[in-house]
Amino acid sequence: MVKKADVWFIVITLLLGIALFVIWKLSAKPGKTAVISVDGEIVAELPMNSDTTYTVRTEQGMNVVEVKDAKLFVSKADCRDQICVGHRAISDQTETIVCLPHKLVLEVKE
Amino acid sequence: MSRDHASNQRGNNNHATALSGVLMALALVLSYLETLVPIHFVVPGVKLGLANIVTIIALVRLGIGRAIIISGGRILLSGVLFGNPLVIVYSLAGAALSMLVMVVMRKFSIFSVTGVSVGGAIAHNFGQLLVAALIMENVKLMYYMAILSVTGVIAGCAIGLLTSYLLKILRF
Repeated sequence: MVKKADVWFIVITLLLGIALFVIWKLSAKPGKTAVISVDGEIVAELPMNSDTTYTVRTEQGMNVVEVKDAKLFVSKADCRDQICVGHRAISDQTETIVCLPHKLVLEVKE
Repeated sequence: MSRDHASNQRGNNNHATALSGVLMALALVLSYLETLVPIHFVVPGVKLGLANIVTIIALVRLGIGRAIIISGGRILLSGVLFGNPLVIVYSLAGAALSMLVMVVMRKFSIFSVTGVSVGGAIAHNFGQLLVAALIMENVKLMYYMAILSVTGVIAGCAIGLLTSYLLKILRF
């Protein structure tokens, strides 16, 4: 049912995954600006050092973006899956929060 | 003799066509079931890929052509019924890359169904992430592949083992 090549394939895939994970975490450093973009276009930049709320309204729908205690998160959205709301708050430059149905991307930059 | 052969061929063809319809319906039900139990494990959108059981069975028993029709048909139907156009684009990208990798891996014939299933799962995740990164114009999204490669291996193994068991007991 399982051949030798399968095991090798799985081991190599896992090693590549772990390597990428290490690179991801090593290059993580906290940023100072929250960048909100829709469909690849930046719509707003918020400072990470003050608590703010920003509402993104597009023809696709609405997302409420919040900065609190130097962390960025989505507190409310009218999309069906609510994945962006469930995503944990981010603060590092390598992290992103995505709302696929609204084509919204949140990132943290320097 | 030749007529016998022809009618037999036609009979087989009819059988395969009917089977394709049944498999497509089964795949549709499986992908619907999966939308009912969303698993938000670390990264959104992680899933078991139950419909891939059907795709692999079709690939092994009915060949590449019918497997593509079944998989593509299932995605279009489930996209229209339960999703939206964007979901269809993501799914098709994942399915196309997944099918390509699975066909190539089967050609090498050093892999079992389990290995093929893992390859398909990883390729599916990579394809979807690539489309997401292209649509959002954000390369950083590709970092999620770190997590998706691990979840892909787990899901691919589970689906692959289940499928090789099913291939052993299914007689059609």
